[in-house]
Amino acid sequence: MSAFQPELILRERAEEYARPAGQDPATPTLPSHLSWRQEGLRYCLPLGELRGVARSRITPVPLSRELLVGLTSFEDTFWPVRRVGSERPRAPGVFTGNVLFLRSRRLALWCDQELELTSCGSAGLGESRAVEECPGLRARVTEEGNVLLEVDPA
Amino acid sequence: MSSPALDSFVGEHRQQLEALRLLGRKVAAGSTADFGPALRSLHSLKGTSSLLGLATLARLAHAGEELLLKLRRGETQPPARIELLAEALDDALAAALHGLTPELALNFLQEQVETPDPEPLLEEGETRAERRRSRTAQISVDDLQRLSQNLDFMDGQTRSLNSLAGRLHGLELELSGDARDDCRRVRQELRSVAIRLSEGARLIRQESRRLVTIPARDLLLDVPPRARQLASRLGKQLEFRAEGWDLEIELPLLQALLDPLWQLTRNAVVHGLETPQERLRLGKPVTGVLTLSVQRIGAVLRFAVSDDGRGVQLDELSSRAQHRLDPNWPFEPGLTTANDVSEDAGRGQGMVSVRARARELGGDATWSAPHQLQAAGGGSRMELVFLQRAWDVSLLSVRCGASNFALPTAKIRRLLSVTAGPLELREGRGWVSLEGQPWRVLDLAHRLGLPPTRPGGALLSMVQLADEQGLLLVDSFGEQMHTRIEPLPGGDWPEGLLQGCCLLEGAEVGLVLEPDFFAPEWKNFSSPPPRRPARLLVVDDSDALRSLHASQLGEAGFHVTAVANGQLAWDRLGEETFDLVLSDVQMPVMDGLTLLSRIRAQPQWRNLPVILLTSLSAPEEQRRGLQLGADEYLLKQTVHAQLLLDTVVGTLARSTALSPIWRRDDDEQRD
Repeated sequence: MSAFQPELILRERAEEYARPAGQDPATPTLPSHLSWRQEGLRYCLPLGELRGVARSRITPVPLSRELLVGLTSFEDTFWPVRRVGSERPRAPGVFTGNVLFLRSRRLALWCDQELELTSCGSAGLGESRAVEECPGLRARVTEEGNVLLEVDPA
Repeated sequence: MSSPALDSFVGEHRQQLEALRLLGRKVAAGSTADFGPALRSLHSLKGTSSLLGLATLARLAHAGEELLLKLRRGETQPPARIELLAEALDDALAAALHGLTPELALNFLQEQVETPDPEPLLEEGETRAERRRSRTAQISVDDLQRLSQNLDFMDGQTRSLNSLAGRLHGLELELSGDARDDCRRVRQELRSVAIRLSEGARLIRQESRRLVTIPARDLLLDVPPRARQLASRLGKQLEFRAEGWDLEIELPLLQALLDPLWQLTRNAVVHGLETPQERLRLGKPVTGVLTLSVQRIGAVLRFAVSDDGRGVQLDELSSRAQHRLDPNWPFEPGLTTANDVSEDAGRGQGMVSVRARARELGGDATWSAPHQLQAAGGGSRMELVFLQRAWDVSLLSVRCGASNFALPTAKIRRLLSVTAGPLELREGRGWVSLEGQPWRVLDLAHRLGLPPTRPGGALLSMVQLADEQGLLLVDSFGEQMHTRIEPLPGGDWPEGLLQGCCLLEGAEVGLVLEPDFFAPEWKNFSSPPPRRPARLLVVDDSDALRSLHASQLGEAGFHVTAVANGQLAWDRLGEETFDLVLSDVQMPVMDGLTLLSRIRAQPQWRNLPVILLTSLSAPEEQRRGLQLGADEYLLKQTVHAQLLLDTVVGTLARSTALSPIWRRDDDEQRD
């Protein structure tokens, strides 16, 4: 595992897109997932599902459903930011946090703890109810106990 | 330009350079490349740089556009120049940020053969007017909308400048002498730049919006005569009413809606309106009324077609459909209210296509009041509703429960600053007396489930809503701004809570509250509390006069407390709540002017009415008392019971009018 570096993720993705079709990746051993910890569980999201990662200002919406952390702005668009666990931001009002922006749907995830680049194995995948309240996401548990997230196409 | 503003500008455009680098790699690898995002990014950079006076950056962006256009046209250019261009732009952005010379950028510009764009000389016989006509260009609506979006960025810069000026003002108060003067000059210059920038952005926005939008009337002009012709052909009499047709609508949307709106109009004429004979039989006027209205509230744009015709026989329709109809019955394919198929209607497909078209355009077709359709003859109403970006909306920011919100000023009547004393809140609701009338007060923080953060004892900030239903209590008022509201899909919060959201300083998302959301709250208020008599504090060292005034005012219905000097009055003020102080000036221990000064030094008593009643008649004495903040200055030599009573009543009435900070009428006049 390596320390979280948003620039590296974005550069990797750009290189991946720039690679001519049919050519093998130059660095096949690069991490394939971004992971973070939430309430004792480690969540992993494939890098290919990622549109961007940013440390963003998040505005909570009063009277909103529990799973909505707030709204943020990214690339000239407003995004609902949801959480995958039950933990909520502590302080009221606008706060700054790490946010993952998904590529295939207008959904962002709050992921404030232990962000890392990693490779998540796919062995022993079992059903998980970790994100059942978060529309558009499915979760499965790997052999290592990680929660691997999958995004339903919009 | 201020450093935070420049930081923001540079940060934004550095992100966009990644699109350029990605394009460079694709071109170098021979892959199919979409030049659009990079071209748009450069175009935006060029425009913003020009507006901000960053000439090198603007030239570089222009050169970049030239380079990309050549590459897209297949003209021979080394693809590696895209990477060089990105480096040069990065260099120019860094140079702008740190005030350095952009060496890489200048090198790039020297190597690039720039396309000159001088205006050619007039041809022989060609006039300036002809030249202008020949130079008229068709501009993409998307480009104009993008320009308007870039202006939001300029608004952000203006807010940054104003914020800096505010901080400088704080610093200025701590300085003295020349340093203070210098600080003030810099602050004034900053304010001046902010005002010019804001005015420039406003004019550009106004102009670009004028080009993007069109009054609904201009495109809907043919609908009324066509509807009347159709009615005439069917032997019906029609009065066509147009409501809200002066509203400016985005041209592409209006063009796309022409057909669906005609479909709704045609349906109303064919299916809705009865013949004159039928209307006479039903006791209706022989002429049917059809209304096509256009309305925009915040980010919601609504087109409605309504008629006073026969309405819908739901039972008959249900029987025809062979099942019970749900509220969306008009959109059921093949279902029609017509008995025959004609060239005008009857196949039951029109409404299906209307809804499909509305949905393609990001909106929906709905019944606004399905219950009205239960009764035959009650007319019908169809609506096309779109959640739309609303441009240049006037908003007031308010702080409440440690959060910032925005309220549309169109729904605000005025802002008030009210003394905290008379207000008692229970479950976030209370009453306050304004200008002699009881008003309902709703604590916004409580209603939104936010922690109360209001400072105790100070003045309270209240928003009086335009519909006059009540007052919203907030922690404080922020700035008034003109910005763009983006609609939000919703679902995660109560329906109707938000009009949308907007971008605030520092990339913070501002929530625009919909005041109508609170409308049901006003019905849940208990009766207003009985009015208590006003409490007066009478201060005079003369036992006789003190007793006389206390007696006169007590008989008039006031609750009077009388004390013999300023110190005793000061002590009582700390123990009880008073609505007015009537004080002598010359007294032992503490005189009336010292008492007045102390009262005015306390924020919670800054608006407490104080009347000075004294024998000091010299003009300078009177001036001094009024300068210290007395509301009235009465002379013992001339005062009598009725004058004293009138002065007390008048002063109390003025004080309960409180402090209107901003009124809607004033604002409209300024606009």
